[in-house]
Amino acid sequence: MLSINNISKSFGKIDALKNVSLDLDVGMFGLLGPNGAGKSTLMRTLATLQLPDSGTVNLNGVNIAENPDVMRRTLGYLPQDFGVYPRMSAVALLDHLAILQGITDNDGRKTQVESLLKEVNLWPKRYSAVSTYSGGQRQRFGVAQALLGDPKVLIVDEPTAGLDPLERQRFLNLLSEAAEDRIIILSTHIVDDVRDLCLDMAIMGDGEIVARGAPEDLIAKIDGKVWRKQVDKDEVEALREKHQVLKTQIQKGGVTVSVLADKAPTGSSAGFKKSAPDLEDAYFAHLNRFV
Amino acid sequence: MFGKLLAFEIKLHTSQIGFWVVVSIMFILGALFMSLDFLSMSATGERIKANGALTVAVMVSFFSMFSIFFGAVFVVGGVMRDQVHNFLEITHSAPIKTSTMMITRMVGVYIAVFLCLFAFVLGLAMGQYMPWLATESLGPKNLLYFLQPTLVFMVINALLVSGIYTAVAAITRNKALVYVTAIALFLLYMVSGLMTTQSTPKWVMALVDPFGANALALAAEFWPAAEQNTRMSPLGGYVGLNRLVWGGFAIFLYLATFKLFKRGLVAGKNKNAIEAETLSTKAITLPTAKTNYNTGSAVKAFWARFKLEYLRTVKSIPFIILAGLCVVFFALIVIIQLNFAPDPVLPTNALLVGMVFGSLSLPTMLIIIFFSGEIIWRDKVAGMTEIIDASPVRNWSLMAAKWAALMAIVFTIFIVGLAFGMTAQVFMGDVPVNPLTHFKFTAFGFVPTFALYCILVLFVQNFMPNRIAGMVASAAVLIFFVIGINFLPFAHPLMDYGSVPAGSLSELNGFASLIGFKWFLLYWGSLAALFAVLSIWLWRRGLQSSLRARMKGLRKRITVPSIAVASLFLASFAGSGAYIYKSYNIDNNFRTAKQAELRRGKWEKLLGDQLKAPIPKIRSVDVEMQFSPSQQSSVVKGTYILENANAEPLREVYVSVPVSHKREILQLDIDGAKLVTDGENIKDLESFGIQLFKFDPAFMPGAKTTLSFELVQSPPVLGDGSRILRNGTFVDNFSSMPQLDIRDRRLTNPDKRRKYGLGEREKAPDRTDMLARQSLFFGRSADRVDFKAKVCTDIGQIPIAPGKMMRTYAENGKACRDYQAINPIMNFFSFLSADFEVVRSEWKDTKGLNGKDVDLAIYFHHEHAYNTELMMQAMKDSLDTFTEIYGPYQYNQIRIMEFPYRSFAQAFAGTIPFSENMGFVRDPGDPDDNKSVDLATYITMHEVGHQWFGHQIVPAYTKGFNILSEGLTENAAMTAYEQKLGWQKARRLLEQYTIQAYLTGRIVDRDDEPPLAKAEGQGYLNYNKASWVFWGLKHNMGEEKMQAAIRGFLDEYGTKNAPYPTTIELVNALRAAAPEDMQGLITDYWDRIVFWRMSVGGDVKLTGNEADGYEVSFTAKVDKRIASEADGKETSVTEIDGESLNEWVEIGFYDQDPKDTLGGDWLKLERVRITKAETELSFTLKQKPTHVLLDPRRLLIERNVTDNVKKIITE
Repeated sequence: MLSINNISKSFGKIDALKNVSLDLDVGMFGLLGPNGAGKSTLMRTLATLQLPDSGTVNLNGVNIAENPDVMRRTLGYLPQDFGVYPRMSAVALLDHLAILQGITDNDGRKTQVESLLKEVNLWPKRYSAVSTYSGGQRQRFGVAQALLGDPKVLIVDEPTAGLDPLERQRFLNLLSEAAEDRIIILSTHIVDDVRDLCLDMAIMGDGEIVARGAPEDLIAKIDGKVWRKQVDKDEVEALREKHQVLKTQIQKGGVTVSVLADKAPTGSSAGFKKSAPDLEDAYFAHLNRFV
Repeated sequence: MFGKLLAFEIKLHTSQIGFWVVVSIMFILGALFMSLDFLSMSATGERIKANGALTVAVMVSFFSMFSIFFGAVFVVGGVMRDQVHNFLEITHSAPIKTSTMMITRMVGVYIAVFLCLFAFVLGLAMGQYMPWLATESLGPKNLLYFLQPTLVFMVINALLVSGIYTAVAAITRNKALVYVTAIALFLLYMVSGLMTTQSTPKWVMALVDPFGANALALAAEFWPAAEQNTRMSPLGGYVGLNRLVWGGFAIFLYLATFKLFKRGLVAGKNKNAIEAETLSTKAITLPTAKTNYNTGSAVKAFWARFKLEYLRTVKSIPFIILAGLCVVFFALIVIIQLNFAPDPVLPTNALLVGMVFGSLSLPTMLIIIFFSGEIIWRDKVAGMTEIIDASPVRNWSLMAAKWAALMAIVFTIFIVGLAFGMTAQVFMGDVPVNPLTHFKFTAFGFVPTFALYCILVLFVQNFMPNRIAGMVASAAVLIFFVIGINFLPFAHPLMDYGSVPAGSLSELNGFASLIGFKWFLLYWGSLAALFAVLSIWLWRRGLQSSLRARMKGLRKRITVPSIAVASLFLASFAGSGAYIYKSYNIDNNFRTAKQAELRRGKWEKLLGDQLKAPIPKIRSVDVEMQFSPSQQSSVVKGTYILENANAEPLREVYVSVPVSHKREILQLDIDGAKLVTDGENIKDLESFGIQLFKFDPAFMPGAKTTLSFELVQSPPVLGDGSRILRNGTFVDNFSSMPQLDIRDRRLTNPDKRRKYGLGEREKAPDRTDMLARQSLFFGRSADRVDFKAKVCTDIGQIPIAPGKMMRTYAENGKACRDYQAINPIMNFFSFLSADFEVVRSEWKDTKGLNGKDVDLAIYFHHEHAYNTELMMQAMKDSLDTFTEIYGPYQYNQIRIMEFPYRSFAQAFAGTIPFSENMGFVRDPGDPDDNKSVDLATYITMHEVGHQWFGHQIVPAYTKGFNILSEGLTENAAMTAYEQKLGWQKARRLLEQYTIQAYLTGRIVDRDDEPPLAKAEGQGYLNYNKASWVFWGLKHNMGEEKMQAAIRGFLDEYGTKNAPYPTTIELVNALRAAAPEDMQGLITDYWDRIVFWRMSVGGDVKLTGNEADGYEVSFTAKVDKRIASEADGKETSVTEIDGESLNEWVEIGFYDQDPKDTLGGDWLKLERVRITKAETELSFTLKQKPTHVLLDPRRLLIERNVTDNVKKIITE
């Protein structure tokens, strides 16, 4: 049980986290938010890489600021950006990281490294230097190292960036398999990643949690309030001023505008059709504080 | 567009904080190097002004070399920033012409480098105004002295350095290689500096320094003080050549870069092509694993990290290149030292391992500076910090791995160096390798110090925000502790981080004493351990690792066990420091350099007068010296018979006792005198080691009394060594027995005397001072003494004293020998004890010259037998020569004894100690090779010569005294050397030693140069100019005549008592033997400072043929310049009323370039009288000459002889 209590963090004048509180249990948790929302700051704080200015983070009742080891021993962390030592093979680097994770038994470690590399399908390329991998391969390596030591808390920050559709699918499969008995925090700005996998999620914007709950609950909040209409490009600005526009999608012919309203917009804006809301709508709705 | 881009480049550089840091540092350096006299590069002071034209020019050109370091950094920012910051694909696809892009960047880098160098010049200029700069050291402030060298040197140097870096950066696109280039350039610069000390052609020496400082030094080689202050760097000649070549090279580099630069991505630097993969879609299972978080796993993590750090560094290209450079550096030094020095040494174990580390010290420090940054910042640079720091690995594992890796890298270099050293020694084959010696030297002399440096540098890195700042700080810190601290007048060993003194290594005695080593190792080791603990506390972990954040989080890191450990180290550090301080400062008499200086001033005020007060004379010495080499202690007991040889009665006598503590005086009595124990100055006197006795009743003229003494030399302790060594003890009477002469401790440096208000340095008495002539130069306390000694030592060693060995016996478990001098000797003698091998021989007078038989013996260390036969023969040859020319040798025996450490030989009466690094291990070279100098033979001959000049002739203590000892001995040695090895080899020795040493020695003298006959302590006069003058004189007036005059002088004054002779008597003897037309020359040689200037003016005309003979005509230009004693300012005789030219000049004609034979092998040697500045001369020869050379035998004192020779060009 990971409980995040009122943590705040500023970098100079910028408030990256403002009073963020979350209680997380076993299972996949999605943290959705735009770039600059503070997701990575939160992830790094959870990974004990920085300390919050105020507030506490407790893992199973232990304050990880006081005892970072408690988190580190059970953490698997895939950072948003990471580099690797040049000219070091995947198997050598993974073995090295395994030692740092405390897997001291030589045979056990060898097995770990082998099976992880096979799971992420890097086994055929295990002797190549990780620094020569493509983006997707490097991301898979990152996943492998995050899974070292059977972590009970897994934090993945923007993990599907740079993966092609098949790789992305495999990765998300892998995650959902793993979610059986661990806390997995998936931090992303891609709505689709969260939609299918997460039973629990939060939307983060400007350093604050603006919504929390299961995806369907968040969607339910705007049920019956979403209206869509296809218009010309030049009409969009006017619509923005008059209504709560959720999103605009360019499709052949024109722009489909989705707005949030209790009733169908009338007057010059007539022509909106009620639509079933999806997670993306809920995302924008909550993010823009329309809800 | 161009202008805007250039402005952008300049703004980019000048907005970096690093740029301003460099500018500030260069400015401060300039101000310091101008204003602080101990930093001056050319002995500036009153004679050579600190802001003189040449001094400034040398500094401006030399300091350009600093651009080697910051040039690398600027070029990475200026030329490589696209790829460093991953911006390359964007900038290179922008619509800028490649040429514009390149040129603006190159110019930007150049301007940045130049501005930083110019900051140094500004600092130099500002330094003139610093209040602590003595006004006597300042000449007129002239802006041109600063601007001219900036234009001549700095502009091109900046161009060169920027050019090199730009080329490397733009073509290799490898940041690491740029930094490696920095180190490589620096090392190459150092090597080029080495090559200039040996005999390479001058134009090569001028070119070898790309910054022009060496070319300038060559051009100004013989400029006297006055010229150095006012004459600016010449634009032609060596300097011009240097500027042309290197400037041209710089431009070439820029052009090459321009041509070879490829825009865009370079193949091989990008990621590999991505192959399509088939990903399996089967179900995924995650493996379980057992994890450990105990100490064992932390150790395993440490080991894994250590291997990573070490192997990655050692296999990296920069390291391989640097290690390779180290080896090259070492190889060059070995080759130069062992082959190209005119007096090479044999490759003994101690020597070779000393060379290994002498050459590796600097590169190793560069490696420490460079790789500490690499290692500490490796994870950040690779982008792995987040993953590593989020893992449960302990801070200490990470830190210890990095620290251990750096030290392991240094050890790797050492091992490579050792391997090369031993291999080189085996390869050279002369001396068998003793690996133990090599390892011992490494383990004691180098490993601890460099390990400590590693730790210091790594500790400093904790506080630095990035890699470059880290490297700069490391460099600054190392420079301070290696070099800077020696200049601090208040320096104490407790401040000298890393200094763990094991001392020199001797093949006889190993390390003299390791007491200091052990304590300082404990002291600095504790501090280093404390650094380690602090570093763990301050370890950068996670993001937000600024120093402030880490300090805030300190409380969490400090655990009880770590506090306990830190306290332990702190206690050890403080405790050992306190003990060292107590030992040095309280129990013994340690003084800082500044305190020592002050003391000397105090001494002068207290005892200066005593130097002239009347004292008794010692007539006889009877001494018993008991050595205990295994304890490194001794007891000396004995009596002096004293006589009052003055006209007045004596009421007091000051006795100087060479002990460290009063308790080491077991007995000191004078019959008829009482020791004074209270009085106002007694404490001060005692602190100077002086006991005051008062005679009551007075000690009457002609009366005699007895002085009895017993002194102890205690075994070595921390802070106070012992002169008694386990093997190879060598003590003289001044350092072991009571003295009536008070050692003159007055400050001699005129700038320091001024600083302390001590007045002008008192010069030696005039030669006409008859009172002074009553005392000989060794001291006033004796004429000659009867000498008897008993010396005992441990069984297995041989004790040696001067005199005839009367008997050998054992007593009280010790080996003893009795010695007695058959005739009185000077009160200057020595005692030795060592485990000697002995070779013996005998010299017999085969020519009926009244010479007695002389027993010859050489006592040496068993491994050093290389030259004993040579030295034995040299003794015989010198006895042959000297007995014939100067008369019989006065004693029964000559002994040569080897002693450890040091590098000198000394002539006592019939005993000649020779240090292990002198004759015994000098490579004498092939006797038939005219280019090699056999110093083993020469120095043996010199020391034997002293038995005549120094022990038979004993000079009075007046001006010119040492000419009669060293000067006459040098003449004797040259004579014997030439007789043995031939004229060519003697000529070589004259050229490479004598002449060079005189000409350079006189330039660095801070005091005024006196005429030769009035020389005082100047080695360049007593040894070198004297030798040159005797060489010139003997060829001018005839060798037999000159030697006969010296013989006459010896017969008249040798082995007699007061009044002792001076150079007046010697020169008079020479004048009496010389013809009338030589008297002027004798005046020029002895009584004034004269330089001749000769050259062949214009072309040489050659007419004639083989049948009829040839006629050679040319114009000889001759000038004679008299130098003023005050500042060396020279005036031609043609400009002085009452002076005229009237010189004998030799002219040689050759059919090959006379350079290789140094003027020997002439077809014809003519001698002409020159009375005009320009003289038309004509000569006839039978053979066809190709070269003309004025003064081929170098009989006249001339500095520049390159224009004395002319090649005859035939149409």
